[in-house]
Amino acid sequence: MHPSPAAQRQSRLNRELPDLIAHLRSDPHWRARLVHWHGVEPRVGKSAPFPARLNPYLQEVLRSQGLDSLYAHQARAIEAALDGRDVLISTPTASGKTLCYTAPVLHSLLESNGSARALFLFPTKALSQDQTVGLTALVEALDQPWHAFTYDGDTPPSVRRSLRDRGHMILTNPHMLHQGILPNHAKWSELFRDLKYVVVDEVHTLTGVFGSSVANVLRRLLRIARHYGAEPTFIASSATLKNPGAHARRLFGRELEVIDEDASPSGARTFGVLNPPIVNPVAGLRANALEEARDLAREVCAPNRQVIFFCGRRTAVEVLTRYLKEGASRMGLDPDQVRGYRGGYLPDMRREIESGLKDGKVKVVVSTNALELGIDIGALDVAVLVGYPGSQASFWQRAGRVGRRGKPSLVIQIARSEPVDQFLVHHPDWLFAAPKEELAIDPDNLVILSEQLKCAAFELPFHEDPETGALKEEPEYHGAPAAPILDYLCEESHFLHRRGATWYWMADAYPAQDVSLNGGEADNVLVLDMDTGDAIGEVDRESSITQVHEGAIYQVQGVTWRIERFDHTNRRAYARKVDSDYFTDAETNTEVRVLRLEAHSQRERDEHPVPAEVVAAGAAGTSGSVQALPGSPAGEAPSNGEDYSVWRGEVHVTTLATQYKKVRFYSRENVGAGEIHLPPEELTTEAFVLTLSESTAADLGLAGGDRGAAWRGMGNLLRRVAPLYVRCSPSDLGISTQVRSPHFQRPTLYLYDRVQGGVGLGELVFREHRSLLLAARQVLVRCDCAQGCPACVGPLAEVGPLGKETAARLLEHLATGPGPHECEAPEETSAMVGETEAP
Amino acid sequence: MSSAGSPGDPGVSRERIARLLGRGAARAKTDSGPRAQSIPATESQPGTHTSGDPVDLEESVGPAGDYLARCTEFERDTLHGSWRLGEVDGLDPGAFALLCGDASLADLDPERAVYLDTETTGLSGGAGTWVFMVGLGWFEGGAFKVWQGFLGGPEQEAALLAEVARRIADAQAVVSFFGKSFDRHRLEDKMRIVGVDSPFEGLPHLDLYHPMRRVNGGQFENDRLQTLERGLLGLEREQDLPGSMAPEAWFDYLAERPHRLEGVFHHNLLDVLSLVTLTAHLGFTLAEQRPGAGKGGEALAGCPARRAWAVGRALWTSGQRAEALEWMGRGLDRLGEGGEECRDWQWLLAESLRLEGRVDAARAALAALTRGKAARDGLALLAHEALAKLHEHALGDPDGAAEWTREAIALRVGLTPRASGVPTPGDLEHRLERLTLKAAAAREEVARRQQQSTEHVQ
Ligand SMILES: [Zn+2]
Repeated sequence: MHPSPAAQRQSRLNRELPDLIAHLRSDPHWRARLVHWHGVEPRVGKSAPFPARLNPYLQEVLRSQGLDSLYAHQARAIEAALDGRDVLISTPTASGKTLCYTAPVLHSLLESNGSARALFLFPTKALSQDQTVGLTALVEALDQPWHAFTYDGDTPPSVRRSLRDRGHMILTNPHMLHQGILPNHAKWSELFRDLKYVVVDEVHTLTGVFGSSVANVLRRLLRIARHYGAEPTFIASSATLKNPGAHARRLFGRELEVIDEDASPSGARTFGVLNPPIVNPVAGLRANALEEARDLAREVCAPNRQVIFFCGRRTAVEVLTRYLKEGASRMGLDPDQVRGYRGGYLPDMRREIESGLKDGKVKVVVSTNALELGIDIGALDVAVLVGYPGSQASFWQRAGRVGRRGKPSLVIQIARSEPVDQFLVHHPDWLFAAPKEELAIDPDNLVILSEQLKCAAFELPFHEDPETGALKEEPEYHGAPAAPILDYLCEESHFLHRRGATWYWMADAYPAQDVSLNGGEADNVLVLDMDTGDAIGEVDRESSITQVHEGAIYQVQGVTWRIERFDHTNRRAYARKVDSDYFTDAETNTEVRVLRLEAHSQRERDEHPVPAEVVAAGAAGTSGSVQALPGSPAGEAPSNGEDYSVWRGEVHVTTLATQYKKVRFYSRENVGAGEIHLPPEELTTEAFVLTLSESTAADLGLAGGDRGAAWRGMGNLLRRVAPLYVRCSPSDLGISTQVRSPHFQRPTLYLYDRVQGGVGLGELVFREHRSLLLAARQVLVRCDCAQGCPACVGPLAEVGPLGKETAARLLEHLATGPGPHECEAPEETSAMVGETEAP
Repeated sequence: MSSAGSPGDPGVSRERIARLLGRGAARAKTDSGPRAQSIPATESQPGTHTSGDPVDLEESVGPAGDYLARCTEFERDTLHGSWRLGEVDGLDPGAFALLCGDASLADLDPERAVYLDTETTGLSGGAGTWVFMVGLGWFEGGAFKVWQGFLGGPEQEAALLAEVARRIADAQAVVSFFGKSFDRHRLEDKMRIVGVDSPFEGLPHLDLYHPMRRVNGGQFENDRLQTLERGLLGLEREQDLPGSMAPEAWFDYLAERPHRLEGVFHHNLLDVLSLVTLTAHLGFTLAEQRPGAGKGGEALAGCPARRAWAVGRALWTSGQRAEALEWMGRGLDRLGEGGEECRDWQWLLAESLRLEGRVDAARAALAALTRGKAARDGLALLAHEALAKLHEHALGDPDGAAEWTREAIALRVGLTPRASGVPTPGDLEHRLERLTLKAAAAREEVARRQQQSTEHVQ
């Protein structure tokens, strides 16, 4: 006899987490989707006593709050900070990092009778507000007249003054430090004079242009503090990183003591990887991840547990929240127990949701990465990640939202039709092994450094050491080309004035106002409503030529606008609202010229010969349209000589938008075209270069009419798996492929850093290129599509009928066998520079 | 950039920097840089270009190094516009205390104050804004002396600031125009950076901007110093260099280009002198006339109605309510009918009268607001409401109150539905309902008493 539906529902809603997991593992529907399971045993924490030198009264108050001992890593971190040693705590979410910095700061205040000061940098406003509340509560428990203040864009000017004069602990973010505090350091002299600790939270978020800029803001902070006689100690925290010490060294310009052994306890955890079924076998398309999440919610959401869903975009949060509210009663919930959470919500509403999560009233929350960073919402039971969040650190921070002490928890990652997501479906172990991503950061990027030097010179003059020609007494800038840039700024921009050995700021301007930590903002193009003059959007410099050219359809929140005029010089595009049934797709010509090659590795053909059957397959694939390459007729390729090479170097990239197509929505049929007349975008940056010898190219069948498409498809796949080993988003990398580069005279692939001057991505891709080739190969081999799809080399329409097959042969060859050996780095020959020098 | 593994490359070539920064520098160049270099420098008149050091600069050496300064001396009866510098004699500093709401100015002696005006490289503030000229003026031995400290180079900053601090600290008070908000902060910021103690702590500071605005605002196109000195002191500046061109003049001088520093010195000097005569003007506000050579003195320039009103408001704020009402009434009388502020003032006066318990006067003032063509605005509505309250509470006349409320409801119809600060139709209806009940109750009470007395008589 079968139980009634109502009884079934009741037993579904009442089951405990282990029963739920057992159900998901056995039910045919879910068993087909949940392709991988991984269990993590519960771990017992390792505790340690309070460091003996920690102020006894502080110890007493902490004990009275129920804290009898510390985790071992907390004790070590506090000990180091009390000693004045700079320290980085690199441990997972919920391992008690907050105490590692609040304890030393409060200790210093107690020991100095309230004269010590501390500055805290958080990546978001919400975090600093959250922490201000926590610190204020501790100060109250200590019964001291000290103040912890949040200083951010919302702080009213009338409050700022009392905050400067009376704030013992200032909690802010890098932007406010850069634009508000440092340029006005005289007003903040009380803070700087006694600055004992600088706390920098979540430093793994400080990468790329932003991180490189923040590194320079920290240089400025240190020189101002020194001016007022303070030498602060850094206490930094981050998610678990591959090489935390190296990252800290570049970010802070000094060695930090790294503490990365997590001694906090955790309950048993179960991870599941969900791969939605293929719905269109020809195109290789899988079912929508968001809809899978909705179906999964009916199983996992119940009155007796709290579930968090993470989505990539704000719109996805709204859509899923609506779905789940509608289905709340079937999950035994009231619609009010299901909430959305994202940036853009009012602070009061966010606070309400956070406390609802903490006290258990809210059962289901759907969030963007807004809940990824340390906001205190207590520990939940189940996390569903709709798509891979883009980095291991983000994955673990999201996963770290679940797991109460001693209780089991479940994390399910739903894969999208993306190369990285699909890689992780087949290699889930990658997630659980040690971190693998390298963090790109370059404080000495010439563009960032020069903008930041302007801001620094505004704050205090720089002096030259006549002996060395470098800066005098500015250890933060040791090794950076600061002096020649300051000279350049004197001569070219007249912002600075040099008198004797000193560079002074000399302009009627406030440079920090015009320098964004995210870079490039001054060059962004503002999109304006032609009729009202209201701003409707912003496009970065590089994208402007393809997105806001005259005739382009510009979309905002589902509304279509046609660009009527693009004022390229003044960075304004004027648009009119239209009801368009098509979108536009611009074509560009990208030309890469090599300015300088700095490193080179090469593999010889006889180290890893192409097997005969592969050569035959390659030749078969290209039959009918064989185009023998000059000097290397197909089939007669030499068996020795160069196989492939990789390079790192400086390149000049010119991108010219040529024309655009009008493509009808949904049907995607081509309904017209137009020409684009805009000056090219120029970029000088760092690149990774891969070249294939003509012989190997011929062996692998990269000789047919479709070879360009296959070569490009492989390059795109490399670019899209890059986030597995290099902390970046694929759009941070530019790509250019040539089947016969004028510079190398052979098939060449460039992956370049899309930031002027580069922030280290070229170097990291060069270093990790073998891992990327291997990952790309794995994705391609395991992809179920027939002839290319968005989850591998790209759709058939882009790569052609032989694209996937050819790319597979290329990757099979390049990713296997021995790696290339380092060669002598080529000299910066005058001939080479002469050939490619920018006009 | 340098390779990611190494800590940067100090040997980065000039060409490489130019190549990478060229893109951004093209944009930056438009903001500043050499301008108008081709103008020949011939005359040394203020406002035109000269080369080399400004004339008559003295190099001084203080304990913190050297700095430059120019000293100029004026007779007390030097005319600055139509006022003489010495006319500060006999002013009433009580006006400063009253109009600034600052008791520490009550016995300010203008002969022992220092008059301060600075020239800076920008208005945005921040550590990189230079104070490159500090003009200080004071009375000494029958003369007025102006000392203009000047940065011959940024390296002289600490020495100049130390000297400025010393001179200000010697004075009994500071006088400036907008200096409490600007000059003082620029100087204090810079002093904090170079480690000089601020001389401003505890020193009375008369900032002419706010009281001048209060007494004379609105009658000229703006409230800037040059506008006020033209309108109130009859001063016409000739060949004055606009203050906004001062930074460029100093940058040109430092870069050894032809510059207009002479114009900046002149401009700053005139500013300091105007501080003195504006102080005198403000100091005679309560007397409403300057002593002058004639018998009864001479009427003070400026709008008498506004002056009387401003004095009245200031007195009200300071708690001297009886005098305040007198001055306010005087201001309103002088304004006459149709003045732009007339209705605002009438309303404020009526409210003040009501708060003082002058019921009849308040009622008359309010009634005035409900009459005439203008009486269809928000103020008219407020006046109706106030009259209703007055009748209900102070006069014990619920019928009268209901009548005013009924009129208010009719008037409300013509006003915007959500006009801020005025009662909503709902509020008014509610009030009317309550008043009607109250009036009915009162009538009943009267009727009952009449009944009783009739019965008694019977
Ligand atoms: Zn595929």
